[in-house]
Amino acid sequence: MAVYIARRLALAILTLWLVTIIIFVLLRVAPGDAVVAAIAQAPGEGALTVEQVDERREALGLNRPYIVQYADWIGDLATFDSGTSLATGGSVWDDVAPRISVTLELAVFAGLITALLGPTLGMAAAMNAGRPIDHGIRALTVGLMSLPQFWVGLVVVIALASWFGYFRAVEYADLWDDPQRNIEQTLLPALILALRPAALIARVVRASALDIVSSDYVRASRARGLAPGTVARRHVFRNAMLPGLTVLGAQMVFLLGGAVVIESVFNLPGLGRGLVLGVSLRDYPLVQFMVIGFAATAILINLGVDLAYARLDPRIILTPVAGAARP
Amino acid sequence: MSRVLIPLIAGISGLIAIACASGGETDTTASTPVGTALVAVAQPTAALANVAKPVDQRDERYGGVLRIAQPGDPISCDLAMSRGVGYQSVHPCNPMLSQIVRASADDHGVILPDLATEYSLSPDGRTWTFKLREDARWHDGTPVTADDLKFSLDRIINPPEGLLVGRAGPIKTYISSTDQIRTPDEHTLTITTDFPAASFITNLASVYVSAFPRAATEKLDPPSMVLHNQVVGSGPFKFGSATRGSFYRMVRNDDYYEPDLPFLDGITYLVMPSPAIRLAALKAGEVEIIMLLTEAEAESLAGDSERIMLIREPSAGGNTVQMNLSMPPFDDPRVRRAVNLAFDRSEAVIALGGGFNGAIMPPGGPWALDPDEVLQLPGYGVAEADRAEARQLLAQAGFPDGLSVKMQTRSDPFSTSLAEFAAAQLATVGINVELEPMERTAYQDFLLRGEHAIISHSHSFSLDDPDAILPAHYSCGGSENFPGLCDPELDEMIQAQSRELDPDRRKKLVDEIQRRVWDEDAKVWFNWSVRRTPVSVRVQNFAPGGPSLYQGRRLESVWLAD
Amino acid sequence: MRPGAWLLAAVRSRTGLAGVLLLLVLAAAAFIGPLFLDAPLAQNLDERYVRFSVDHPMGTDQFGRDMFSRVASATRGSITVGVAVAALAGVLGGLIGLFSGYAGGRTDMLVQRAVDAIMSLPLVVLALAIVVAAPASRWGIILALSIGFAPLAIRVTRSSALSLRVSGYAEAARAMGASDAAIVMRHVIPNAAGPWLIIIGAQLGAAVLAESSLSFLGFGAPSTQPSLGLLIGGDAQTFIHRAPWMVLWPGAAITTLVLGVNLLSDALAEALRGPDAAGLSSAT
Repeated sequence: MAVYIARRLALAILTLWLVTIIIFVLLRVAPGDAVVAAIAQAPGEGALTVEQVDERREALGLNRPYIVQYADWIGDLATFDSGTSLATGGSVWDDVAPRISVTLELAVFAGLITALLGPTLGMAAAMNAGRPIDHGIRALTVGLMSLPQFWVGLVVVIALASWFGYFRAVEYADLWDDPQRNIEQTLLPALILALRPAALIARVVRASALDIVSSDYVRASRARGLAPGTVARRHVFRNAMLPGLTVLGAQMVFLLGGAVVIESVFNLPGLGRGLVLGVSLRDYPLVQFMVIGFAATAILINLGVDLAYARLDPRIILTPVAGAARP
Repeated sequence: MSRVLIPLIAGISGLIAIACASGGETDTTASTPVGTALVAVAQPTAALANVAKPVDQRDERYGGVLRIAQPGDPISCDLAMSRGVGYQSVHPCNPMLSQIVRASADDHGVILPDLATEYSLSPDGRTWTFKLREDARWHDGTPVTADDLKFSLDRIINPPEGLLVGRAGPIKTYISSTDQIRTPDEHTLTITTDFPAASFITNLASVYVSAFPRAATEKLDPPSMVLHNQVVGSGPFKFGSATRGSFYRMVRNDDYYEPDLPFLDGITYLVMPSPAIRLAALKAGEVEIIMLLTEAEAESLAGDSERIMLIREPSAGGNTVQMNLSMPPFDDPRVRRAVNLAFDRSEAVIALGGGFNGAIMPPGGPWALDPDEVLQLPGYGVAEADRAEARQLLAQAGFPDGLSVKMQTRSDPFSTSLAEFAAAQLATVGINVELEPMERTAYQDFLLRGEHAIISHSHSFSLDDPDAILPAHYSCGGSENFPGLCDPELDEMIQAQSRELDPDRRKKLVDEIQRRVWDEDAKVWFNWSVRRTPVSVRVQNFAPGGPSLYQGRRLESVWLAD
Repeated sequence: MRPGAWLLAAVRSRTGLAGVLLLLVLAAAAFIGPLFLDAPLAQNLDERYVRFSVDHPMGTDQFGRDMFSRVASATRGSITVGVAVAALAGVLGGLIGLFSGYAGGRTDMLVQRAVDAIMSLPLVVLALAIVVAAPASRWGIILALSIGFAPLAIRVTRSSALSLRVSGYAEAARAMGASDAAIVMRHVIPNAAGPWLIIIGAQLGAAVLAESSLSFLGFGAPSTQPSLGLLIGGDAQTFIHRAPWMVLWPGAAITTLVLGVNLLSDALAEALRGPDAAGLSSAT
């Protein structure tokens, strides 16, 4: 087990290194830099001559050779230094830190809703396969996966505001200062964020449950005279959860990423919004730091899922080859 | 929340400006009350109805928090320095700041007292003497001194390492050395300009020349109050709390130097990126004011007129198509003239939901060309005749069958919508436009590299003043001179008007420049725009901010009714 | 099951039929409808904000442009984006996956790290790639989304190839003189085709939705090559209150498109589970 984890971590570092190259190159190749972006934010702000633009680039260290900038950044990463924001001149960490809890809370809520809703719907459909409930759930899940997420968000917010005067998507309240308001602000976006992954998991769980039901040992159990409910609990549910878990892991990553759209609709000051702002301001250190942090989290989640998978299903042999053979 | 009804008090007199002490010829003695709310009727057309609302002063009450929504975060409160300080920085920072003198919201040429209670100008027209009030204090409790104001100006003339001057830039063109700014005593400031400059005081009264305390600023590295929580100002509100990406809360400054002001307990600027959500928040009564509105959004408020009033006012800005003079086919003046003639300005007013006729200085303002003369300018004629002439010109220029061009613009919905309108107008004379919307920063990069041939571009001026507009837009190498106009004679004219102290003669010079620039057909203004601000009827005494969005609002005299 | 029979079974199922019908209706409106209508960019300022008329069944917008032709042209745009992304991500990703899984060893390890790296990048970063690749055309979006979507196809085909390799079957076949190409053609591809096709279908719908999210964030298609995502995600937001039809019709179109695709891919998945699946239903 320890060897396996060590090996996975080594591979994770290799992956992160690839991510550093991808994001570094993408940012540098994108037209414009922090100086130009500042002008673009407030056109006509100052009569910046070409020399002044250059002076500013020099001051921000943007004129250094790329390889030096890259080495500098990797050095910062190795010493856990988040770097200095080009937009504010402050520490990147100071900007990112307050955003983490916002997005994390959103993702955790959405994850819980997904974990609750997805398997429940999936099992309910599987247990009633071919009946109206099954058709209804299948239609519902396909439907949920066909709606643009931000659109659902906009419609829900506007409808609640104009029909019931209910509007909480404003002035983000800290969880510890005003828990009720904070949860009101987070729960609705989390629910909308969870719809798609929950639908996906419901479908995966349904499919694998049906596979298991048709498998020999379940038939055998039933032949032994076990009540259908017991069979469902003892064999089907547990095994049907496995693929669901994998999907849940992948979807947690998706939740973190998809948060950007939902955060914009519900005015949540989270990481996604920070990333969009960072990209449009060409705040290289900020974007680089956030992307690396995001990638590291994604990799850790996947590692966690694989480990949990192995625990739930002892047949899994912990080698990268076997791990890769997952659905 | 305090709900004390206050009787007629002298509080408002702090706003009804004290006439400025006169000393020189150029002094403007006129002053207007700031505190009259402009109310406009919601109408689908561009009609402006600015009705001064009689203020029953007994109604005024203290307390309440005003909530204002805008799409993004403020970037920096150090308004003088170039960091991307747009209107979304000016407005949320303005209530914490004050200035040496302020410009009237209605006419930027009208100067109101602020930290200086009176000023005078020496007979040679170069030395300004400001008498400062003695009761003003910074938010940290230290007194506002002449030295602080000198510091605030010095850093514009001679910016600290790593900082560049932004919209405060015009000040630099009048003062070449910090030695010209002197402090004879704690409460007197004198400024000697390089030459007698007509617009100096107007540019000094710009919000971009806000005052900062020397001690608190120099403690920072770099010495610049960028973030809200760093700001130590002397304005009516001080920093309360903020969460980047969500809200910026300011609380009442009990030590504000204008007696009994402000009325509000606090102001909160809210960051809400989605326009649909901003409007929903306004309708739900969760915010009182939204910063900008499209005409379609304004029209959708028709049913809410009991709760929300809509202010429509000319914005010192508008929409243009600009052609690069060094890029064929636009190096040919006939092609440029054809582009100008292709626009039907009255169609623009319909399609863009309002607008005004103007030349190159904002219509409605003190520098606008006479409206009758504007109608004689090329492009303001009968559309059919103009367009026939345009087609002829194109044929003469070698494009009898029309031509195809690529036009760039910013990719935000507002800009692309304008560009689509412009493209359809150009199509009427056989100029087929392929639009290339570009991401904001990429577009700016593209402009800086000068590779554009024709662009669709909107401008918004920070000050309705020739010195703040003409050099940047029309002088050789000006930062907003995207066509690349470079006419030595024009540059001389632009310099001459800056030094002309006689207002009438200066206006004539500016008019001459307007005609000349219009005739180049390089920066073609096809619609001077309307700014729409929806305000909850609870908000009283709200001066929408005058022609420029970029001057912000201090909101000290605003109060909230039930 | 033979591919032909499988497809037939899918289309014959109730969900499959519904999906096909939805897509046919939409395609007919998008491709045939415009023959009778204005150019999507033609402005008519005398007819702004028409809610409904015989000439303009879906109304007009702020410039008096016919919404039906705008929605039709945007639907074509969205179909182009969806199909191109699914094809590019599916075909290239599929091939890379086959190669990676079949080759194994260090190559496989590197490809998998690249896949992990891409999968851990958020959508906005992909948007940046759009700005780089092609700022003023739909191709930037297609490229960026293809890169983002390829990993799933890579995984699917790779695991098929891998399981074959691990089972020792390939070695046995090679020992009997079969070439690598033949092994891949005869055994790996048929094995991987089903799941692969389902992934492609799901990605087609997901790409259309992802494009609309990008439009919402301001990184979308240019208005000259509109997609449904742009019509509901771009400046549409400012018209929701004034002219809801400008947003409802494209919204309905995008939902129809994605729903059709999802139903079809659902039917494919169901059919792939084989005739046994039908029998199962009664078992519970």
